[in-house]
Amino acid sequence: MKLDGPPLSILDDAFAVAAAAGAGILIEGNLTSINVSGLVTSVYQPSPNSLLGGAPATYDAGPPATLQFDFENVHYSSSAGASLPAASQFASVTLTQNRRTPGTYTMAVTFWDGSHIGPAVNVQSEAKIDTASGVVYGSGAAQPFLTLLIKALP
Amino acid sequence: MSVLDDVFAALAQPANGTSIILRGVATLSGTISFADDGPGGPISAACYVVATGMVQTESLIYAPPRAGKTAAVRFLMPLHYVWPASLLATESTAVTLTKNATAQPSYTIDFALPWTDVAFTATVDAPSGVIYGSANNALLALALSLAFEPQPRRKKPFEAVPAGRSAFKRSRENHRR
Repeated sequence: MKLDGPPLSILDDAFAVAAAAGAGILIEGNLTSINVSGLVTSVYQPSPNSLLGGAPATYDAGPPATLQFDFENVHYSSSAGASLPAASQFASVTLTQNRRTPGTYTMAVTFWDGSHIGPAVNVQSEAKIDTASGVVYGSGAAQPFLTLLIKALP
Repeated sequence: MSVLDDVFAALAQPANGTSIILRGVATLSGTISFADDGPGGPISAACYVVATGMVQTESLIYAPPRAGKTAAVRFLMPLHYVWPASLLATESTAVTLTKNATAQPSYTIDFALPWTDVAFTATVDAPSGVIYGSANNALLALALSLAFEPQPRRKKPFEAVPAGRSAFKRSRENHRR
């Protein structure tokens, strides 16, 4: 992901790519907690006819600028340890560029109940970046723990 | 105190009448560089591993600290690989948590993936309590919780009482001695 000037962070790059026309972003991630697990593959792309697949991510220039995508097929584990797929349940993730503190981002996760009427749980945290791996992560309250791998599309 | 401090403290001094149940969910995110060379050179790909499992005392091996050795706990974790597709089958890997002999408590996680061994310093995320770390350019989050479940107390072994002497009389006799 090469832009003009040295890259500041993977999130700075991702928002810069989304703001500039012509390039896309691939977002892959995991949702981890004792009772919930989920995977996401999401693509932000200006051109809608790509064959890359993945659920669409949306970018809003704001301010504040935001990237939004959904976790689908979130699995809730029972106390017995069996993972029970709940296809109607999903989680929405929003990455927001903080206006007052450049280079920092927040990560909000909304878990939706099966009825899709209203959010069941909201979790908000700082979006941190692991130094060695470049993986974006964050957590709020007691759980969950969210990791994201963000890459530029060719 | 972190969840890892709690785990090792509970294993070192298990409370009477309780058993320890360790529950965990693990995910792996990052870019893994395979050792195998593909037709076009070394293969590099994003890898996701989702592992869920429940570990009970019966399947948990605790090695207490001994001279020259650190305390460690070892358990099996079932793994379900979402990618690569060739590893979609569920299997288990042995996970080892080691309490390092350092001034401040620190911990290491070791386990094997089919293509590489993973070892990293375990960091506890706040506020989730999720254990995470990165190795080989991958980030692994291993969510662990420690639960205590009551276990029936062991009955004392049956003690025969000689004929003609009640347990009460025998107790008084023993007391006089």
